[in-house]
Amino acid sequence: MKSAWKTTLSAAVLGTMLAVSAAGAAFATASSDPSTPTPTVAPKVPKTAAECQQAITDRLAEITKLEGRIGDAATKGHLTKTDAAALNGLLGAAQTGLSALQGKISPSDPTLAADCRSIATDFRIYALRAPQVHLTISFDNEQWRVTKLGDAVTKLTALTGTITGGVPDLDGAKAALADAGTQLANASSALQGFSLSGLLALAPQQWHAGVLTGDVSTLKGAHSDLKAAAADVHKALADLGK
Amino acid sequence: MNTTIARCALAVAAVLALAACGASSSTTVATTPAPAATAAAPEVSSAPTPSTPASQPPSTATSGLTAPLQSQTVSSIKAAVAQIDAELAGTDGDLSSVDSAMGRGD
Repeated sequence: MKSAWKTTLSAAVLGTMLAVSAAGAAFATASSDPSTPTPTVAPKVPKTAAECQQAITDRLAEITKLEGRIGDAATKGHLTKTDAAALNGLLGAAQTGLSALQGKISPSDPTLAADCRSIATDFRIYALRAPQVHLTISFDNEQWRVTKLGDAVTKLTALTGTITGGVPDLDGAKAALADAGTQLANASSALQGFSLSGLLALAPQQWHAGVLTGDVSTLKGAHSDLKAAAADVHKALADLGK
Repeated sequence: MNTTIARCALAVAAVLALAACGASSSTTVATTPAPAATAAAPEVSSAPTPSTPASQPPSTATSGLTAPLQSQTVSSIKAAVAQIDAELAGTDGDLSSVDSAMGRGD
């Protein structure tokens, strides 16, 4: 009786530890935190009017490139229309602001230094807008993969229950599918802790060097889990002789 | 977005339940009576047995994935996984771009 009680208690403690650990992990990677006091990387500030004009031209070209990536991800990938519209809204505002600044900057501009500095600090095209685009696309794609791989694992698991043999390695297939389920659960859990609205709400003025660290870590972890799940499905298919 | 996440969570929960079921049933399946043994029952009865289309998959455990429906399912799964494989590289590229941007302040 005492032993059974101890076992029950140990299981309860372990379960609690796992839950606390999972909760901690979710908070640690949850989302962008603009208030985190990490050091800011000093942006490169162009000095002359010509350098500033070139800096704006470069950023407008980057915006065009990012808009192309959004278009591709929405038509060929799984970026949702809502998220594509949100990203295009951010880029459109940056494009308008940078174009206005471009019209203002000249050698006789009395606030040339401040205007040149604002190209970096008020827009953060490379440090914030570009990552927001790539992370949002990654997030939507990974959500789609969780669903698609989950469907594949469900169907294959059901199939393995209908046969007794006649395939290269039925037990191997079942083990691979069980592992795929675990990997998918991990990826799904990570994605649930990801705040896309928090990411999209980040303004250039809130940017600091560590502002995206949690988001990047979360999506990389989920990506790794999904790769492992896809490999498991391949192994299961091979074990089933397919 | 929350709805999508909830759907994903439900799908994953279903996968885990099925996977656990599949894993634990590996020994059970082996001891399940073969279809030939259970098929003897209708012969004892004089009641007419409903005709079964030849293409219908067996409802009990069988050997190998040979039925047409099973082949269709496997084909659709293979197509889905091939698409996932092709698109994983795209996410590699997106995440790599973010890594490059992380070192910039502008």
